[in-house]
Amino acid sequence: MSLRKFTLVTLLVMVAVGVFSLPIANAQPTLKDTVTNIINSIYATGDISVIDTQFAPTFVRHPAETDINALKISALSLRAAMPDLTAATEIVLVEGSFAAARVRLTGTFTGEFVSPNALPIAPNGKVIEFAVHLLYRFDEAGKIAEEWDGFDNLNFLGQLGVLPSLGFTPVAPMQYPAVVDVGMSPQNKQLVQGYFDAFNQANWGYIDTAFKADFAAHNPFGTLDRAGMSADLQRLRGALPDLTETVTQVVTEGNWTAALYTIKGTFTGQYVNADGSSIPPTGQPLDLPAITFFRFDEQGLVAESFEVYDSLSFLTQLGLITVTAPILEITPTPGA
Amino acid sequence: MRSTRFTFLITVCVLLLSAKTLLAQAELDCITLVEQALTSFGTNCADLDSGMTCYGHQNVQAETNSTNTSPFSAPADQIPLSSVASLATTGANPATGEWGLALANMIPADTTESVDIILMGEAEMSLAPTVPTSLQLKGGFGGSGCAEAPSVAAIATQPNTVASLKINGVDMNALGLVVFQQESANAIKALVYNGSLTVVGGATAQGGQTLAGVMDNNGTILFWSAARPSTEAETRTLIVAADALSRLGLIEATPVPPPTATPLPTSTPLPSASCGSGVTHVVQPGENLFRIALRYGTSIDAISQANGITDINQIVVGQALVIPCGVDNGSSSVAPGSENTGSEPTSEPSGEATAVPPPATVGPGMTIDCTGFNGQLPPGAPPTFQDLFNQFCQ
Repeated sequence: MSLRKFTLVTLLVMVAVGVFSLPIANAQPTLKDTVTNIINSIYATGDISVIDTQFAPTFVRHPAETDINALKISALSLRAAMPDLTAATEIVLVEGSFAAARVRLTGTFTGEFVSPNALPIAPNGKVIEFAVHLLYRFDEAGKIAEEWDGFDNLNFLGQLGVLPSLGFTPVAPMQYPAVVDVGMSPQNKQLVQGYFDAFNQANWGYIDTAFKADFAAHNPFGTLDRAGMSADLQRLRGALPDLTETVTQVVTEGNWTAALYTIKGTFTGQYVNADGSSIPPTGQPLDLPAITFFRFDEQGLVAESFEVYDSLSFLTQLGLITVTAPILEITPTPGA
Repeated sequence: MRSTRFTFLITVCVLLLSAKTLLAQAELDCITLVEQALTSFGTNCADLDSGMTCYGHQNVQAETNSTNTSPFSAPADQIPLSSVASLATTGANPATGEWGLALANMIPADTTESVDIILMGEAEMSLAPTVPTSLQLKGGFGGSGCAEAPSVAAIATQPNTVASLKINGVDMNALGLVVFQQESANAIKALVYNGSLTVVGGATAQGGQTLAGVMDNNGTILFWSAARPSTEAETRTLIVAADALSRLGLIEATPVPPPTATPLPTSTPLPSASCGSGVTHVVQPGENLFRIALRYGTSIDAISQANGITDINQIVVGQALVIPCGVDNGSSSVAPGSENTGSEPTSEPSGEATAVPPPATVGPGMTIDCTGFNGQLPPGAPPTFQDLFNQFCQ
């Protein structure tokens, strides 16, 4: 029986007995457990042999477009820098051959952070904590063929002490760790797609109808309320009038939906601040992948969102800052 | 009753004082332990025959791959390296007088020149039976009871002879004395005392430089960093390893005279002294720049620069050296950029639109140019860019 059929049968059974609002963590135990175990093995115990056994030889990691070896290097360089590294898989969503995970990595920076053939970054002894959003695609053989990373270099390097830190600690999702089925996953998926469509059409009213009044948006620069997020997006669109967010993959399960999308636009307009002052355009293009987890309430409204993208790449692509970093290579971003 | 209680209190006080005295002695014993262990090492393992392994100082365990060869049982025991599958030494313990030291002499397959391998403290070495030049080293992991008695696995080549070795899965060309120190399950360092270490297809470290490497859980090295200057702590480790080599007669601590001719006092190490302006030191027999830097708590670089020394091995007995206080130019200190973290973001950033903020230096060699903001950001801007501007561009 295929995984999809199994899911369907499970859902039908649940509908038949009317068991909504129950945890469905066991609906697809195999793939969900596999994802959690892989993340634990790689990051929490440093057992990279799972990369050889669970990842396809042709594996590609986006957006850096790197291979299995680069994945091993990045995992172990984290563990060399933070020997007590722990990985809390806060959310895992599985749908079809895709899995999306939000992982909180925490460790004490007591060893050097080493990149191949680059000068190491000296440890500062501080506890480093950051959230990573991962999207996996499994192939027919059940191996991970592709991975998309939501990783914020600015936050990470700021905590390592080589860039100024904004001092944000990742917010823990409510209802952690349960994924609760409120029987509206298909609608949630439609609503998320609707949000991106509305964004691309500058239909800001959609936010007020689809998002709860006490909605909170957690992004790399902090947390915004519903009005704050709407205003923030409108200011950004003012600066990048051709701004679009194109969804390439949605993974939905229970009351959570994760979306992988690309933010594109050109900084040709004034970035107008709340008080009317502005930042002049630089004419630079933006092409940035992002992964957001949306949490829905039982009425099917978005209660909270967690967005991770590389804010260092965001600022450098827009031409707002230029980082000269001979000591390490910043992960290249397509279009940058 | 009262007198019994008084006697009891006195006894407790005496016991506490005794314990304190014992603890104080244990601290001192570290230095004595190192001196005595190195002296024994020199006595037990000097002039080791080619292809042999020597038990230098307690404790050393050998696993053999032959039933005919007895493992080590006591210091000065020697067994052929060809019969050794793995060798392990124990970490320093002043209470038991342990600080395992072992020496192995290996002839790599493609040369007739041998390589000496020294294990100190908590260290391990295993040889791949089919590849005589392939070594698996482990050292320094798990800490030590004595800061003065490091745990390392070191390699010393013959003078002016490069040895090609596969170390923990990586092909490397070593020259001189190279010390490997494991930091944690996934972190290893290679410290170069003199000569050089080249990772085939990768970085090269010269004397006084360190490479940082990342290993998997099996000890296989995945990659190395670029070379950085060795830190003071690393230099201290190198001095001890070099000292061991000189006790074995394998290197000369200073060009003239050989340290074996006038060995340092074994149990009364030189007292430490303070560096500073106006401080000078006259080089004594058996001293080298590392020892002098260590004694005065300064760096080799600082002494070299202050005295115009280009080759750190070229100091002579009787030479007067200025001893400034050196700044550790390694990367062991906190990166300068981290200090910016809590820097005062002025709540009223300048609204004067004319000033373009200069590039801010935030880390070692890392700069941020805020020209894009163009000094345009006034008070009251939304938190996102306001915070960024304050943090990056002030």
